[in-house]
Amino acid sequence: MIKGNSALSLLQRVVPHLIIVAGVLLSLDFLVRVGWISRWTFPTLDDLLRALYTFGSNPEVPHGFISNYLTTLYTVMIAFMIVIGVGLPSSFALVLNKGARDVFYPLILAFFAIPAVILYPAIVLLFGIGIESKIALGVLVGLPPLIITTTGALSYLNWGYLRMARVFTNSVSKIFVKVAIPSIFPILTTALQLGLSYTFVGVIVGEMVASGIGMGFLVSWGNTTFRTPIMYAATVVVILTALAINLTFSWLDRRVRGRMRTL
Amino acid sequence: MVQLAIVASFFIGWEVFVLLRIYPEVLLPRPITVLNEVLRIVTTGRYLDHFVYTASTFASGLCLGSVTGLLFGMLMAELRYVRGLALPYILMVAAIPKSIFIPIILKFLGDVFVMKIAYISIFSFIFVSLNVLSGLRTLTADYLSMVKTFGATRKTQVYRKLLWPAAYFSFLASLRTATLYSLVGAIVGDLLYSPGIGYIVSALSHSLRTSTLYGVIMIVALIAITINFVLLRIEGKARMKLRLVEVTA
Repeated sequence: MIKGNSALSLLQRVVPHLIIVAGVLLSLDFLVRVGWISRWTFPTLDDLLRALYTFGSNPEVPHGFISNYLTTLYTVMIAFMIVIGVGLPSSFALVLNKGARDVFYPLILAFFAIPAVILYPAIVLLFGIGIESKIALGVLVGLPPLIITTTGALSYLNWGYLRMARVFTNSVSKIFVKVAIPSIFPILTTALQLGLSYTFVGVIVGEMVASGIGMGFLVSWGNTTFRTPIMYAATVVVILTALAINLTFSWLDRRVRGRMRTL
Repeated sequence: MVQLAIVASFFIGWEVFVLLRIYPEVLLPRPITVLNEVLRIVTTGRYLDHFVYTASTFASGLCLGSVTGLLFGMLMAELRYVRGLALPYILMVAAIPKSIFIPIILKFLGDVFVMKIAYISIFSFIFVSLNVLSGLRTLTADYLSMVKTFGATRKTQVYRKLLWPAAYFSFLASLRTATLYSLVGAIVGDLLYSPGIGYIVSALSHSLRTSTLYGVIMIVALIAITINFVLLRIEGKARMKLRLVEVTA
């Protein structure tokens, strides 16, 4: 009974949006076919679907779709590992040490006000046009939201739990792993989601501005070479990837919060 | 004082890094050279036209996005159906890299200046509309019932005394984030399409005029930090006034 109701409510939520998206696409297709919108501006629906369907095997695409997609994913993954490796310990250090927080937090806020993308041409000079510069930009864009959100999340840490844990053990790492992290895990997943989303944004911007490979490069290449269906197909893939990242973290967040409630 | 010392140490460390010749000086210039370039750019007004161009696209996009975001946020808070239909798309656009829309917006609008304004307005629209919606929805039905108990008329007094102040202060509280991300949008737009500060930075990088490149970056960084500082003050006061609206409603 409950499953049937949730399936029905899911349909009620999803169907209107499917109708809206289909309506917009069909309207644009009609406007292109009657000549009100140029085919250089938007492809017909069948051209777009064909470009999506043949994306994987299209010989026109430089390096092939799979290489471009995997390069972007690899770059994002490396950048995100660095963001977590630098961001989480920094956040914990800022919260646990009041002196460090008073000194460094205003500097961090000031630094994070600087648009990181303005540094990208300098980064390209220092690291070259390969994936290293995209990783660097991804880190610079993804680090601020992760640190700011994690620092905010840690302010909700229940110090009573930590004091109680100190009664049972002297090991800081055990208290950290078994008490501190689980107590802020729901908010930590939000911080990680923001960090990954912004890292992905940084990598895509880097690929669009100066790159020879990657999904951002494909969008830019499709635009500059007037291969409009390929440009839109690459855009759709990037959008779906970003949505998949967010939906995965939303699911993880719901699971974690549900588990915290049962505990 | 300690923070000034840290900033000074950063510049000293940079100078030592350059003197160690880990990178050629043509790729990473000395900080003293960069500071000289900053002074030269500021005193001679070099690249002023590009700064003005970027400032105009940034300000136009920010105003357009913020005002439409404020109005649409209020509309979403008022009408459940509008919220149900529009909110998933706003959240979706918030989650994806918006730079991929630049070629699409340019194809539809045809003009680079208008495209940049439209692109920048997306950033401010998203942050402002979501924040205004959130601010209004935290005003629970109890507040509305209470003001109506005191005889407030729906059309004017509820809006004037409760909803409009809550929306306005939510808008101010979101202005800092909207401004900083709109600035990012302005720079990204300029990096891809001239003119503008992003284009200048890119061109200086291609011609290896690195001391001027870092000088321009430093000027943009100082402007961004100043804007952030001013807006932090406004945001703090707005959040305080929002709490007062909730308390005194």
